Amino acid sequence: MSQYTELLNTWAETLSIDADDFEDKLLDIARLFRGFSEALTAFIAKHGYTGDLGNAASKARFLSSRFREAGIRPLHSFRALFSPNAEIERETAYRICFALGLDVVETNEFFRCVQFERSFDCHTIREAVYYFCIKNNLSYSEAEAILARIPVTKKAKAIPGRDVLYTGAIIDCIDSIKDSETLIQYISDNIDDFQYNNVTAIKYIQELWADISKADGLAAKEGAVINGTNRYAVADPDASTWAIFSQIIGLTNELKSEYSIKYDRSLTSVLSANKLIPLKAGYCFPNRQNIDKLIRGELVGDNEIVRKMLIFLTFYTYWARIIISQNGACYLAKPADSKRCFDTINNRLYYAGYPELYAGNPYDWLFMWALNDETPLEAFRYYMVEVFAERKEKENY
Amino acid sequence: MDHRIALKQNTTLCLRNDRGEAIHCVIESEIGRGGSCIVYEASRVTNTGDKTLYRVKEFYPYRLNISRNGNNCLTPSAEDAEAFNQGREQFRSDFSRTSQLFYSDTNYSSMTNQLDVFRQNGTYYILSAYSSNQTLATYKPETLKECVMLVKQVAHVLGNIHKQGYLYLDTKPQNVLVVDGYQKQVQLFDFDSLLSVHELKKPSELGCSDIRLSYSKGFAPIELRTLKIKRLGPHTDVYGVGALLFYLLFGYTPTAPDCETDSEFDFSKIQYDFQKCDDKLFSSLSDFFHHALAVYYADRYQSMREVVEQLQIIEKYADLLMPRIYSTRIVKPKIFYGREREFEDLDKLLANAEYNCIFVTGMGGIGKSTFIREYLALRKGMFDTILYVNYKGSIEATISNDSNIEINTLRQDEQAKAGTKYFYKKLQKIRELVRGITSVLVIDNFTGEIDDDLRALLSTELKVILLSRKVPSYRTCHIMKLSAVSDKSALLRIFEDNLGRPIADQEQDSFEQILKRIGGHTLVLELIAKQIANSHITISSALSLMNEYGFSAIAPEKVDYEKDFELTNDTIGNIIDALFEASALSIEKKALMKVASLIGDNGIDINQFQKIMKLGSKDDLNQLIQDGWLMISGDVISMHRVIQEAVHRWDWTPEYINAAEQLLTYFYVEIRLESTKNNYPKKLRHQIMAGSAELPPELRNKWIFRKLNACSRRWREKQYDKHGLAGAVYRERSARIKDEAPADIKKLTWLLSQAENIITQCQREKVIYDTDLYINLQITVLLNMPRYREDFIFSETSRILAENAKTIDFGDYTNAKRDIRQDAIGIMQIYELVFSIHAAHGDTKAMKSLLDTAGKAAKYFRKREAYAIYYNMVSDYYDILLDGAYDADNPDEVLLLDKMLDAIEKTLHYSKRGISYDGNHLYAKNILAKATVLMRGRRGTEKEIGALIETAKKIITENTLQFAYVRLQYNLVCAWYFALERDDTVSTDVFVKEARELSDIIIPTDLQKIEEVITPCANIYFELNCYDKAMALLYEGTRICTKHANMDSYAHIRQELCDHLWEVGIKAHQFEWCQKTIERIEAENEEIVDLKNRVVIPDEVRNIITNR
Repeated sequence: MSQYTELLNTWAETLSIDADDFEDKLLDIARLFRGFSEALTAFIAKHGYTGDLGNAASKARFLSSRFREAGIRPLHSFRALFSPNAEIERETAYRICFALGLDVVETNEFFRCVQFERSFDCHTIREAVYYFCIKNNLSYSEAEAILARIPVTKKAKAIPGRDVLYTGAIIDCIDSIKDSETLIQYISDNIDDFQYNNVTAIKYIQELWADISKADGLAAKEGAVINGTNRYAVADPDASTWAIFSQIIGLTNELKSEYSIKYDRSLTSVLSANKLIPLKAGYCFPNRQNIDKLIRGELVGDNEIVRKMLIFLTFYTYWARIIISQNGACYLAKPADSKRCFDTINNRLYYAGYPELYAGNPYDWLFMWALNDETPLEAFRYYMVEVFAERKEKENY
Repeated sequence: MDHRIALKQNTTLCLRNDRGEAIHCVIESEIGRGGSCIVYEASRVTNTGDKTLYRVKEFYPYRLNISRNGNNCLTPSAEDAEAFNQGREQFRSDFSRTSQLFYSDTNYSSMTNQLDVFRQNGTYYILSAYSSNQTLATYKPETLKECVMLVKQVAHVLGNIHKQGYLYLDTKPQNVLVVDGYQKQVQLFDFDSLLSVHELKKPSELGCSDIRLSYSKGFAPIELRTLKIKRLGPHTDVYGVGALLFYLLFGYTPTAPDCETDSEFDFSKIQYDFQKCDDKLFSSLSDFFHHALAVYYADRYQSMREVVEQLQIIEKYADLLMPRIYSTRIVKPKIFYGREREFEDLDKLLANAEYNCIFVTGMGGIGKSTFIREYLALRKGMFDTILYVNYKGSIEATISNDSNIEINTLRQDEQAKAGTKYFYKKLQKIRELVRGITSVLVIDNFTGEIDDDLRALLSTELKVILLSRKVPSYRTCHIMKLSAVSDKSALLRIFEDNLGRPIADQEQDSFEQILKRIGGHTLVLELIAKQIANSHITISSALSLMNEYGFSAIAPEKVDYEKDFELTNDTIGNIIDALFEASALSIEKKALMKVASLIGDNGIDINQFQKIMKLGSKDDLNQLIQDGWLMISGDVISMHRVIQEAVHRWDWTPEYINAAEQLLTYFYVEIRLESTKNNYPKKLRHQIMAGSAELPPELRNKWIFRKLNACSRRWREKQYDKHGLAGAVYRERSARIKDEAPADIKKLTWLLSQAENIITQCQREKVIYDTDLYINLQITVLLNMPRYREDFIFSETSRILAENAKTIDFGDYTNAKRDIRQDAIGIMQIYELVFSIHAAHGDTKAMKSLLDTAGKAAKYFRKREAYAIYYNMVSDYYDILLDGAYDADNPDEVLLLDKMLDAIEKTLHYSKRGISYDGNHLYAKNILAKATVLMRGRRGTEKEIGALIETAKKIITENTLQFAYVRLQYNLVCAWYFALERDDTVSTDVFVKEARELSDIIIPTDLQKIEEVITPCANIYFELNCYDKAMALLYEGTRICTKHANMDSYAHIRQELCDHLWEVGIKAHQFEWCQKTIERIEAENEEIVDLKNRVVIPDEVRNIITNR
């Protein structure tokens, strides 16, 4: 574990909402999270770069030479990768992975710790081919050659109503394929199944949401329990997505109404440029609109939406179940509860093809921090309240 | 891509070990590849010339760049040479490790037998004994049990490997060979993944690069997939075993939700027939998966011993040949709320070792079956076996029926015809199977008796719950009576769920009234809600319809109804008929039921009922109680409203009508006798006494007198019968003529209360409602009802008058129930009764209106008694208008007094010639009234007044008995006389005392006592200036009122008494006493809920009292 991850892990484990300077510490931590360029620097340092970590030109040269050696078309600007707030496309990320000669595990690591995204989405043809090539030690140009022989398809807008192929099954097939011809044949034969993705994740999200939102579901029951403290609105049987969502994030009735009116129940304005929500955390943060889309089976486009939603709902489901079974909003979590929750989230992510929780990812950190609290769901809500308070303060200012 | 080149078929391998020993074998075929090797089948020719087969594993890692030359030599690329060499040595040391494992414990039978490791072709080869080429990836176990058995063997081997200090980490179907034999056996092969636990325990920080980890997706837990080295342990292999069984059963590997704490598994999707397996198979499988696949490592079994133990249990449950009773699948009711307390009660009863027989009793439709189904669904984990059967007419038939109770090794149709009865054989098997386990048998709709068969059943270890409407007489069983759901909110939810919507606030009241009307009966509540929904009516209109026609006739639309798992669609009426099907009841019992349905909710004392219905014994009633048709509380029997409704729907037969008439006649006769007892004409009583007088002993035995006596008795009986209801009254009166006690007010009150209920119940029984008997009873009850029951009096009066008013007004008989002339006196008395209530309220407008109607009625009836009553009312009317101003000092008052006296004269005129007690009493009463008016109005001389009183006295003495009401009036008038005319306190005291003593005996209510005795006596003493006595009486009146503080009828009189009290107190200068009284009244006011019923203390009074 890198020092960076260790530091954030330590903060996640030790920062208490009861601390006197909790809000200030939160701001400090929010500033700690590194962006893409810093993460990339740390990564290349583990993969052959031995120069000055602060020298962008040197780092750019290192990458440039790796691209050249691997026979990969160079980037427009390697230096730009090391500029503040740099962001890259997934395609570029794969080129870097090929250039660095990463295997599947290392590629996964790159996406998790640098790109803050899932790695191989084998439900897309390009990434399935990349997976095959990286797994079988084939070069980027070989991958391009394979891709050139496969018809181009358009992504669907929603998961088809017929039987679907799960990503896991595709990976199993690719794993058993021994040569590129078979791969091309396989993809061509099953081309329709490469028009959609995230089937497993969306299935999980739909199931989790169904459990949460049904008439006697988790939100209603948890709402009834926590309502004893008069803090949150009880989710009524016909509660809207917004009502349930605002219960999960701990919006008080007052805030719920205020934000309903002011921002049409969208969190974007609250999260954007909020000191407590680093850019990567606020990006694709779960919201009402995306829940509605996902439960309708619509493909939301950005994988991060799906990943973050999956973490968010798994976390809530886990703690809501405990709160309901204990019939106490203030149930003090045992260490094993939190570890189990952590593993539960990671397991869901794994099966949905997403990287596990990573303390260096600010969104993930929020949940890892909450998990270390005695009342994780309450801690998460407390954090969110702080986020809203920060926004309000900014408005007043 | 896998570029590895396998050895060709027929390639000869000359395998030499380090000591130079060699084995020659020939490659037959490639049979598989792993990450580090290729496996071949090879053969060798023995000394005997036979061909023997081997397995040959060649170290040839996939990841490395290795080439094979023409001599089959493997050569790694320069950059992979080191890795290759390291791997090769690892391969060799793996052989040693595997060999050690093979010979430790009992692993030799469950691991492939590796013979030796040889160096050849630049790599190593491991030679193993021949074994099956079938793995769990290719072999599909035949049964579920075999799956479990094979996985259990895998767990056992892994347990042995753990004991040797290793983790296997790569459990998957491809790594488990299945060896044929008497019983299938497994052998693990490919031990490349073995990891020493010792290595894991090294204190240094371990990274995945330091330790060689291999696993297979789908069979590896999260700690292995995410390479959390420190978290690896035996539990990691436990996951693999769990995943292996999961894969074998479902055909796919577990997914994330399958590994979570609350995961539920859909076992209907497993690939094996589970229908004949043990009921507990799935719960034990669930338990196994929860503890094997748990995402959090600490939640898993921590050793293979635990895994094997659980798999052994599962294997037993999966064994189709093991004798077992199949549990009944309990379907949880769709709608169920409340009854938490009953659940706890049943928990306790079932936990009590002393009872193994529990009767759950309750009326039909109250929810016995639903309650038990919900209970069993909730508590299914408590029982090893749950049996739920319907009673089949006898215990033998119920138990013997294989579709009721199924034992896999017994079938009734396969039994030998002769020999032991199947029932006993099955019972014996049940006894064996339930021994030592917790089993429950529910027998629904049990209608049988406790017989030998049931006793035999109870001798097993089964806990038997019998659902029955009948209450058993068996002593060694426990009875749990299930009544209506007590939690109102639960009932509301049941109603709303069946209605299909929540009820609004404004509907709450109607809902509660419906609830009250049906006594919280669950099924009826459900049906009413469905009826409202299906008929698209409001809850309040449903309530109105219910009140008018009963709940079974709210609307004609049919509703859905589920009974014994069958859904029907019918009207509520038909459903209720079916629910309370009574064809098994005898006509006599049904007649009793029909009569009991007229009694009303309050029920009746069982002894009284027996007497009324002239039953020889209470056997029939007891049977009806036992069978749940009637309820009993103490000695009071009653009928649930829902059963009332069902019985109401039975057609009236002559037998039922006779029985009902018997009931009504009883109450009519008894009320008549009791209400007229005090006022019965003295002369008539003497006549009856003379008629039934016994002869002197010397004549009694003379044949002629005996004959005469018998003739006389027969004649009298004939007369009684001839005169119907009047005859019945007369017969009873004659029988009790020697009874000189005053009327029993308590008894009369009870009779009226019961009769009131009967009248109400009969209103929708047209067969009864249209009879003379009913009308007579209705009028009798009304006329004797205490005045404070204004609500009843007004409602019944409206009902009677509504049916007769048209006749009275226009002489039109078409709508009249009968010729109402025969009810003339009764109707006039009803007018008089209502008139008196209006008078008590000082409502002169209503009084006037009623007088007009009564006047028309009297003209229509054209009877002297009717006129007498009418003019009596007129005189009362003027009396009220005069408001005590008998000493009229203005023309209006004089006019009123004149009119009053005129009315009294007319009353006297029309009542003079009456021969009935009513006439004589009215006559005497009016003479006394005239005397009072003359006295108090100072219009008559003392002589004149004295003569009137004397006349009255003569009539009273000659015609009335000692407890006649008119005697009370006489005493009061005499008291007035001595107070006003003679100023004689002593004589006044005598008559007041007489009046009070008599009133204590004959006046039924406190209200009447205050109005008719206490207040007049206080007035008398006030006139005599005996203020203390007046105050004492008024105070006594207020105390009596306090007992009825919250009754509207007493509020008015209480205010009057207080006003009088303070008036007298002030007059007598008793200010301190008055102050205390005010304080007491104020304190009492606090207890009165209705503010309008509180006594108002006028400021004027308060000021006077305070200032003095």
